[in-house]
Amino acid sequence: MNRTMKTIAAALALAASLSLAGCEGQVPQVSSGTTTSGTATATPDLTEAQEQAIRKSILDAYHAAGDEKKTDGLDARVTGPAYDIYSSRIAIAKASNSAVDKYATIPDEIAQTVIPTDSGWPRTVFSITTTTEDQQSKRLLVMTQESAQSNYKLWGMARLFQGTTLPSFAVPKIGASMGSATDSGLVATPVDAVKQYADVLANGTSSKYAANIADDELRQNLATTTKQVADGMARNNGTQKQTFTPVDGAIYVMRSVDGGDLVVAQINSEWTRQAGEGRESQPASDDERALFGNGKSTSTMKVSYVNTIALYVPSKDSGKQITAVGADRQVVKVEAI
Amino acid sequence: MTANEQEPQLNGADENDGKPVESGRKDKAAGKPARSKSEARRAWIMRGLITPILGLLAVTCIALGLLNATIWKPSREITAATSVSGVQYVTTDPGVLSLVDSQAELTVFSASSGDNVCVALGSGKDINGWLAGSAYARVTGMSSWTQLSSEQVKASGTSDASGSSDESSAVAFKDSDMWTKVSCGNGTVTMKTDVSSSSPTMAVIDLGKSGKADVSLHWVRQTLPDFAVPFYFAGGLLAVMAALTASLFAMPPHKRRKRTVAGTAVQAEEVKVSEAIAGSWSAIRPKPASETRRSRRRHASHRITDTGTILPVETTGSQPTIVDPASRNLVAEAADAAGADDAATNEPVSHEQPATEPDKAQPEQQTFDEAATSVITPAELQAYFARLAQESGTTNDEEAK
Repeated sequence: MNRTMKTIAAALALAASLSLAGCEGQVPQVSSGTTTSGTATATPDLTEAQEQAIRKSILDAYHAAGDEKKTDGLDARVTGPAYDIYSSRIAIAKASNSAVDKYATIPDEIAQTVIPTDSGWPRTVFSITTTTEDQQSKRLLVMTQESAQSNYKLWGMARLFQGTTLPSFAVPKIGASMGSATDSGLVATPVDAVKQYADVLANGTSSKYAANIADDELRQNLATTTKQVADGMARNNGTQKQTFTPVDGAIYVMRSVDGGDLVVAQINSEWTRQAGEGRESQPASDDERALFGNGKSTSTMKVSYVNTIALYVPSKDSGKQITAVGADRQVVKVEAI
Repeated sequence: MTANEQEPQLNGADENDGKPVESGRKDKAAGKPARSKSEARRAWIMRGLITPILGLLAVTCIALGLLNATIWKPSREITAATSVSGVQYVTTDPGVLSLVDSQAELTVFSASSGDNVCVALGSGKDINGWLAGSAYARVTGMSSWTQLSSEQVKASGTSDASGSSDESSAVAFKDSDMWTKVSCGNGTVTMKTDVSSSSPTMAVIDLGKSGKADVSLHWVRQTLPDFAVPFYFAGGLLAVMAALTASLFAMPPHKRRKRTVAGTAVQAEEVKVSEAIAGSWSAIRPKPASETRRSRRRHASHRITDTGTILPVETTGSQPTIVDPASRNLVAEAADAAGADDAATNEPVSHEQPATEPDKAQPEQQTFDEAATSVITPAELQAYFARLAQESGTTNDEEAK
C-alpha cells in the first residue's frame, strides 16, 4: 500500500515536472546595438505627426488669443518677437474695435517643415505654411523648445516676400541640421549678416553693406515710408531718425542642403520724430494712433517697432548676395517724450 | 567496391585451407557453412538489437514531438514583471518593448494608489533630456520568461528646467510635446505599444513622486517557436533507419552483391560475347550499387538453385566463359577469348593464382590484354596489310608507267 502510494506520488511528481517544464525557447535578449540611449543615431527631433500636433496646439492658443482679443495664456505657446508683435496687434484691434491685422493670419496647412536632428536644447523647427485664404504670402514659422521640460513655442513668424524661393532643406524623415549664429563658410556669419542687414535698413543705399545685400520688399517699403515721413517732417522744420538694433541671442539658424543658412532674427527699431518749433509730433499711421490712444502729444515722439527678418545667407563660394526672404514688422510702442 | 575486394580475400582464405580450387563459384559453395553462421549472427544483431533500439528512439522522438505540440507547447502569452523603488521615473531600454513581439502591453502599478502615474513613449534623446539630473530605474531586458531585469541609475547633466531662465515654462510630464504617446491614470496605468524592434522608441514612466511600483510587460506572441517538427523529423529518420536495419542491412553484403554478378553472367552467356565486346566491358561495367532491389530478389531465387547443385553450367572445364564484372579477372577473360587460338594453355585455374605464379601470369596477361582489347583479329590484320601492300604496289606501278 505504502509502496504503491509512493509510486503514484513519484509518477505524479514526474508528470507535473514534465508538464510544468514546458519549453518556451531561449529568453530573448536586447540586441547590444540598440542599448545605446539613441543619441548615437541622428534621428529627427520630431516626426511630422509630432510637428503637426505641436503646430496645432500653438495655433489653437494663437487663434484663441486673437478671437478673444486677450493675451492671457498666450505666452504658454508664443514667445519672442512673435509674442510682441501679436500682442501689439491684439491691443490695436481692441483699441480700434476692429479685427486683428490680416498680417497676423497663420494658415493651418503647411507646405514644408524643416526638422533638425540636433540633440540638446534649445531646439528649433522651421515650418513654411501655405498661402492664406486671402492670397497673402506664405508664413515662415519658427518654433523653439527652450529646454527638455518645456514645450515648443512660436518664436517668430515672417511673411515671405512675393516671388522668393527658399533654399532646399533635408526632408523631415532624414532631418536637417540646426546652424549656429557663428557658422563659418558663409559670405558672413549669421550674426554679422543680421547686423549688416540692420545697417542697410537704417541707412538704405548709403550703407556700407548695401552691396552685400540684395534689394527686397521690406527695404523698399521702409524707404518709401521713411521718405514720406521725412518729407512731412521737413515741411514742419522737424527731424526724424530711425535706429535698427539686432537683439542679442534672438537668432535662429537652419542649415540648408546647398551650404547656406536660413537665418531668422529679431531687429528692434526705434523711430524718433521731432517736430519743428511750437509743433506737436503726431502718430504716423493708424496702428501708431491706436496704440498712442489718447496720449498727450509733445514735440517728440518715439515709436518702437519689432522686426522679424528672415535672411538667406549663402555659402562663401556661391557668389550670391545675402537675401532677405521674409519679414514681419509691427509697431509695439508709441510714446511722447 | 568493398564487395569486389572481399571476394578475393574469401578465395584466398579457402586456398589456405588447402581445398582444391577450380573456380570462384565452387569455392563459395565450399565455404558456405562457416559464412551462414556469421550471416545469422549479423542478422540477429541487426534485427534483434539495432532495429529495436532505433525503433524505440523513433517512438521516443515522435512522442516528444507530440508533447511539444500539445502540453509543452510554448505559451502564446508572455508576461514579465519587475519591481522598482526609490525612483520617480522608470524607463525601458530601446528594444525592450519589442523584445518578444512588436505589440506589447505595459502596465504600471504604483504602490500608492492615489498618485497620478503616466506612461509615455519617446525617443532616447528626448527621454534623456527630460530625465537629466534625476535618478531613475532602467528596465534593461528579460532575465527570465517571467522576470524583467532592471537597474537603478542617475542621469547625467542637470535638470534643464532649473537652469532655464523661464522656469514657469516647464510643463507637466504628460503635456510634453516630445512624447509620441502618453497615458495617465491613478495608481495604475496600462499602455498598448506597437514598436518595431529596430526603433529607438523607449517608454518612460513617471510615478509622480519617488516611490515603489511594479512594472509588467505583456506580449502575445504572433509566432511561436516550433519544437515539435524537428522531433517528428528525427523520429521519421529513425523509423526509416530501423526499417533498413531490419531488412537491407540484416542481409550479408555478398548476397546483395552476388546477384549482380549472376545477372551479368547470364547476360554474357546469352549474348555470346565476342572479343570486341569483352574488351569494352571494362569501360561500361555496371556498378553493383545501381542494381534495383527487385532484380536482386529475382537473382536471389536464381542463386539458391545455383549454389545448390547446378554448377556445371558455370564451370565446364575448358570453356569458362564467365564474364564477371564485379570480380573480374582480365586474365581469365583473355584466356577464354584466346582459348581457340592458344590451345596450349588449357588451365584457367592458373590465372586465379597470380600470386603463386607471377612469372607465368605476367607475360600471358599482356598477350591476352592485346587480344581482348583489339577489335580486329591478328589474322584479319595480316590480310589487311597484305591487301594494302598489293594495292600500294599497283599504284606505284601505275605511277612508274
